[in-house]
Amino acid sequence: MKVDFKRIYFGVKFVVIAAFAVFVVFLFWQKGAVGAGINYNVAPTTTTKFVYGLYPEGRVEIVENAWKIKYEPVYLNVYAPRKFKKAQVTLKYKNLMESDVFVGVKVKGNAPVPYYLKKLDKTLSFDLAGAAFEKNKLQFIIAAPGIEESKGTLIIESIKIQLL
Amino acid sequence: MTFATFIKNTTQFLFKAGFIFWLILAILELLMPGFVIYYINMQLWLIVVCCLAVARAFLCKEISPPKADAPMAQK
Repeated sequence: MKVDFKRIYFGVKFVVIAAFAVFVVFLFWQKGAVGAGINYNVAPTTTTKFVYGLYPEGRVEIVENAWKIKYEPVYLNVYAPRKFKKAQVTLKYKNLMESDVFVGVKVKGNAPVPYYLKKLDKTLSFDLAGAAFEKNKLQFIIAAPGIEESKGTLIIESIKIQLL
Repeated sequence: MTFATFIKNTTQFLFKAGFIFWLILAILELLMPGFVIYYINMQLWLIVVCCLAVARAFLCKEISPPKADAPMAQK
């Protein structure tokens, strides 16, 4: 039996080009975030490329599968492939602090406090109309003034972010 | 087409296609940050392309016929 290498060669060419075309279509599909939106479930034990944080290191310690916040503020970067209208943040936490804790999203412009802050709650909703999309990323902040004195009394077990 | 030619042509094609596709994706990434890097390792892709370039250089090296000596300058 004679092997037709010319045919195999054209087959390889076709498969490679078709695979690349399919991959590019997939990327555009992801970019458009076609569907209901995007859900990110973040916990210290889970790793996802699309979410970075809580950071910076040193302000946060991972204890028993939870983030123990030692110093503030801490940040969370979330990849947003396109602009969204709303972000719904659901937090699972233990807060033993006496002072208020705030969660916010970075906004555009040069405001003295460039974050749209809300008091910590189990579910928070942020309007993203004025949010800063820097390199297609949204930045969330957790600010807990006075946490240095009451070290480690704010524990975050998981964060769920829905971009709608 | 012989097996040796098939290997040579395929390596050449994979190198060219790999490099052009990498370039296309790099441009898309520059235009839309996060478009590609979250889904594919561009550095690894480039390393593979470099390996293909080395393989191609070995496979496609053709022994060119020796050049005729240049005529000696007349004194």
